[in-house]
Amino acid sequence: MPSMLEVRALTMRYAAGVVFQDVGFDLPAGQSLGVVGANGAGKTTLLRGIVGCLRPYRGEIRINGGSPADAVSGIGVAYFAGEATMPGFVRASAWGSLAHGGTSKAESVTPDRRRLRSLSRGTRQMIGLRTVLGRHPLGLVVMDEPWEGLDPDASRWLTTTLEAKRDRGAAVVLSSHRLHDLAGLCDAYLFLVGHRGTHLKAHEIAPTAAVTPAMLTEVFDRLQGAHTGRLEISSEILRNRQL
Amino acid sequence: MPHAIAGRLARWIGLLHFFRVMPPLPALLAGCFACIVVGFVALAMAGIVPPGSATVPLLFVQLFAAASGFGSPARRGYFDLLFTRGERRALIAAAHWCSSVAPGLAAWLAIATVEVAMRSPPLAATTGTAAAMLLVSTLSWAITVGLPRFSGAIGWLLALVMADAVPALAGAPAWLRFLVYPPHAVGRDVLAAPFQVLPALAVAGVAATAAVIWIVRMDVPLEAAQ
Repeated sequence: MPSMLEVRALTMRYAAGVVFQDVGFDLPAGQSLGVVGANGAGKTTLLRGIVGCLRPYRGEIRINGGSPADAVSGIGVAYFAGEATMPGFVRASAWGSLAHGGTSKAESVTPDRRRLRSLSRGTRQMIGLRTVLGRHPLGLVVMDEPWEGLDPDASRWLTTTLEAKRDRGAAVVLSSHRLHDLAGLCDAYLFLVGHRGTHLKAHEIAPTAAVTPAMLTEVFDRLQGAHTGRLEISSEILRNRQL
Repeated sequence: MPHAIAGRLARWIGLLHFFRVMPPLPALLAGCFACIVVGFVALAMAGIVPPGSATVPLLFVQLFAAASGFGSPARRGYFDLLFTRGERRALIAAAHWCSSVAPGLAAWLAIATVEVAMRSPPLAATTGTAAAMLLVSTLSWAITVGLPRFSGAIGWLLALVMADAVPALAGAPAWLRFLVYPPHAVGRDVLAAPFQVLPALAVAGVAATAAVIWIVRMDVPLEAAQ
């Protein structure tokens, strides 16, 4: 299956230093990738690099064979970095009208005319998610901590929506600390630990069963150097996949 | 071909709609423009002042309105919807400039229209005032593009105050005096002596071009992620 997203030997850095280096993976259309890492490991930086907001220090990111800047207009990209990236002084209905490419005739995702800052965190998160996920068609979905602040109903809606987008052929990249949400949804995982990335497919973590949050925690702990020994994944696989 | 033009038009309308939803200048400043127009027109109707006397206050409010800042909201992620929609960054910059300066330009046009209608001595409806409005709108936006909102206008005001205290500036070329203190050109016909303003407008043009290039090339990390 052709890759929708190719990341090769990617190094990102800020003035303060290298965030991560030599990260690489492929993500075919119709599959999803979960990005796991501690705070400050570079999850947000990686995701912003993928959507073209940040340029790589070294390495390459290609979407559908082209650069992110060229590709995003062609394939349709949904990117959301959390409700904090929505200006509080804007009215909710007005922000929701920016879905579907943002023409003034577009229908808003919410009739609520209150300002965003007066809404609860979860409501703002939902409006932001629905605004970006309302676009058609979508070739790439990139979500940074999308479940943050959502209630159980909204969390289920989000998971179902992401599954539907993936099943319709979109490549989905998700970062989250909520491993129980990632575990049921992703076909592969990228662990960002110690400025390095480790890419593992779901069957490499759990060859005979579905990946569970405990398995992801185990892999994460082992990559950090804490060997708990509960998981059947071999150390050799982890060593080979650590980039 | 008509499809291509319609497509470009739709994208441009979409961009302007974005900045209508998320206006670059605060509502307080937009209200300032409305107050100036309504107030001075009312005073002019009462015969107290000519309507064109609103021009200099308008220029100073426009100085702050145009200093809307691009980098700060971009780093908060406010423009992510635009960046990830595949809009050309130069077009985003142009739409941001238009949205920043449009209320001030509309207020100036309103005052100039009233002035012409009342057959008052021309102050707002002159080429000198147009040049001053263009200079303030462009240069203030350009020097603030990577800085917090209003910082360019505050810096310009400081330069203006300091320049007033420097006697050498009185003997400086006219275009330099216009560059530092744009109200110099208010009410004048600069077509008769274009070189009194053209170098200053060229400086503003270069600054605006540099600002657009900065926006096109800028990395947009989230503030919290750095």
